[in-house]
Amino acid sequence: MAGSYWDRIATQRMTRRRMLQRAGAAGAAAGAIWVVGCGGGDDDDGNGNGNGNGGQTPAATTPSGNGITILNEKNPPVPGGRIVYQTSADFGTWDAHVSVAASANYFPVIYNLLLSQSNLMPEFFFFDLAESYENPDENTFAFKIRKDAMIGPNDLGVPERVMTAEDAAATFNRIKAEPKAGNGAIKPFLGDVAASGDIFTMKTTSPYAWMIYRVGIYTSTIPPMELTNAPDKMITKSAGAAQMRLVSSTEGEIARMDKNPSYYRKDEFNNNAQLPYRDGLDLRIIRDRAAVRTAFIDGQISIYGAESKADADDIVGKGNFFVVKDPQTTFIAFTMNPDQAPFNDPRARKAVNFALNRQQYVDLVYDGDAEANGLVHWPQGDYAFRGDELKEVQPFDLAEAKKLIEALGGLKFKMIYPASSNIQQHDQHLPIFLKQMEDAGIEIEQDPQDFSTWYTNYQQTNYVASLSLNQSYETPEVPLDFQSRGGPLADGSFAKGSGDPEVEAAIKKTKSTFDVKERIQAVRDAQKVIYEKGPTFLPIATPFGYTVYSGKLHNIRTGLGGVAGGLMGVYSWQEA
Amino acid sequence: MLNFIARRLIISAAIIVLLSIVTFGLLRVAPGDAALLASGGGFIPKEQVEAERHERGLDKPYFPISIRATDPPFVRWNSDNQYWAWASDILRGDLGRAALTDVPVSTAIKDRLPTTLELLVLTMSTTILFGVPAGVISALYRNSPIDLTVRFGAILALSVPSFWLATMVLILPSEFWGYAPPLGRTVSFMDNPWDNLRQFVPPAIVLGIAASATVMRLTRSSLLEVLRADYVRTARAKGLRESLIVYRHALKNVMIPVITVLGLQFTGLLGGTLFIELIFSIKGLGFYTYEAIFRKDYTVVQSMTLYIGIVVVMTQLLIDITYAWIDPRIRYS
Repeated sequence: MAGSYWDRIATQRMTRRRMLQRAGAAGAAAGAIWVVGCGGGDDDDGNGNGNGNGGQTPAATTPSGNGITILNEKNPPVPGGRIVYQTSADFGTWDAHVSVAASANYFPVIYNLLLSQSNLMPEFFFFDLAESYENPDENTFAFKIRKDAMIGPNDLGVPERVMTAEDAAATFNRIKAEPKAGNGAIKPFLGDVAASGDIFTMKTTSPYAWMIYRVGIYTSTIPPMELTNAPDKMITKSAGAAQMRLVSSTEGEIARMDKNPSYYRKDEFNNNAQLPYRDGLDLRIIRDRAAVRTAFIDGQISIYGAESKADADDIVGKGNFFVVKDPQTTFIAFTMNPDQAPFNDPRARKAVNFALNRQQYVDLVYDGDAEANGLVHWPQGDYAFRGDELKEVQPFDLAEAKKLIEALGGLKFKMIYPASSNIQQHDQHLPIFLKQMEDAGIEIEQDPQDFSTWYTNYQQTNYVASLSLNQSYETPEVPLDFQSRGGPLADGSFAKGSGDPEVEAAIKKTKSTFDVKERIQAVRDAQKVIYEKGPTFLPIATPFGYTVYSGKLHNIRTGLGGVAGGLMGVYSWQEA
Repeated sequence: MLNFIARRLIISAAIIVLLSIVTFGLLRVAPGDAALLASGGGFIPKEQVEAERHERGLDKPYFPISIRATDPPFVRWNSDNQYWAWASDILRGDLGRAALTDVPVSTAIKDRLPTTLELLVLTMSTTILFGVPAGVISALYRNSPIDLTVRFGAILALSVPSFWLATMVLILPSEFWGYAPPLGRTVSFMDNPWDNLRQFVPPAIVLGIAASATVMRLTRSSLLEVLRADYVRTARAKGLRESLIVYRHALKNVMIPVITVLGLQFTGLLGGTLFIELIFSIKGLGFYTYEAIFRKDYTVVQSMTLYIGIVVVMTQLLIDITYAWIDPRIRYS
């Protein structure tokens, strides 16, 4: 039964936790066992078919009690099926180190990472090319490379050999040397790297607590060195030891990935069955929302990101589908430039913050299916302020806003924003924002710009204020970086903090605190300091998302988020 | 005639060069940082943006000659400039590479042209098959219930936006019958004729409906005018059958303005099917160009403008030659 299955998993998880307590962060091997353990293998409870009438939690869902949920579970798994994803963006090049397009999201399934840490469940690691790691000191990360990561068959001329520490060294040396590599995610913190036997060592330029997280995201994948040294080979195909291999990519249309028959990972709860179960992944470009919906209902794609709960519910009623509600990691934010008047005065920044009634966005834009954000968005769990705590540190207080504005002798500024974003919620935020500011007595001169112009001005911090589109931030680090002088990329682009020494010190402390509990406290302390000094970047609200799955998809792991969650797709399979 | 063609070709070449300069200049004047957008969007470090700028030659002067009003020498000669770098590549037959995908523009055109052409052929066929007969019927039965019905249909077809109609054509069969054409992959006619037609016929009909309404109205008004002409009256006086008068004599003259409009529609469709391509997920040239404009991908926009410009100019030349073939009175000298 599913319950006993999870009992076993939970036991192993406890084992891993104890080991973590003993050995600090060096908990790799048990983590790997635990990951492998998530494969199913118990007798099916006979209820495993996709429940067409869905609701938000399918009948076959198995809550783990530890954060992971298996959706539409059906055991024993039947290997097979091609899962079809949809994207609205071009793939770009498939060069793992330089792509900034849609292809980048899929690098972790076609090339190995050292490991990937879950952003929603930080104690979870998907150990990939590394089977363990340790920190001999705060500036050093030593990864023990597994000996069974065999490069699969390919037509790029890469020998079918075991991946080594040399492959990892080649990758990170290229990321350091190539100006376009790494998308800024790891390069600013990356010091010397070295390979010695089966140990790959990476140094950071200063103590950096988020390094393991950055090692585990899509910009840090490790192709075989034969490809790293000849990146032109990687443009439309792949070769490697990861779970899938890219067999073709047709620009503007479709990319096809087949399973790697030599993949090292086995499902020990299913007689050591070879993983991945799925035969392939197809990635199709369909840009129009109505077309995506139509294609999903018709069974041409396997997963659909619904526009709203109503949209998801409507689709579920049309066939063999089920829907899952998950918090998103995105938000729309108001950005102020502290180098320009009036926001060089912290009172102006505080006034806007007091005048912002985030609950209105939750109610009007998201129909209550969202939560107000503090300076760190609420899906970050303990790092974020929520509920009553949030009301205390970040109250909506029109009277206080007016008092500050009066002290300033009025508040007037010019605000840029993308005039026609394809993000519906952004258009809906604008009138609410304008009305709230007007209610507080703030005068806004609107400067709507086409996307290219707005994006350029935003990147060059050529604005007084901006109602900004934003990306997905999977850790609290980047939202806090917006408040630091260097901004989210540490080079002054996009946004700048006020440069207040106390704010800088508080943010720096969050980056150099390795203990998770202490780091949570540091992030909360930093937010309080920023509130006191006048925040320059105000995340508004983060919604829940509704994802609809084909009922033919089984054993989907959710609850981990990000890359680690995606890698768990190795256990999914699809009925013919 | 040969002189005419030679003269038109020379003028066409001049138009193309002028077009390339204007497109090149306007793209640079438009706001937005091409290197930043070429980097893919999102949070891109400054270092990466500058690397992209340098790699794509966007840090060079635009044209061979630049003028600076405040900084002597006021007129400068730039041997290494963006326009010449692009133009010389074009002269060598290299259309360059797309910034985001790094795929050669020539490859993208080669991949997408059959799709666009199939859509064009089907659309033009729909336009002619519906538009011309409807116009003829409407003219022959002037002010009758048939005429009124056809004219009402034409006004309706012109009034309904194509993107809305396309969305309805996609959504309604899906909602009511769970039917959808193949989406997100191009099905070749040679591989699977049935799926290919399922994919291309609905968008062709959507595009063809509005176009055929224009053709219908033009055919009707032209035919009515021709049917009042002296030579038609003479033909009738000679006792020729009405069908012979209409189809052999009148219709041939009606075709001159209709062909002009069809030619314009053809060239318009070449770059103007982007909404249909977007909604039906068809990988054609229209959306390719649109996205490049949005991303300020200079190489793609310039090359596509040049390509479309050449096709438009050549199509117009072909239409002019067709005039002479249809109407022997027209002679180019």
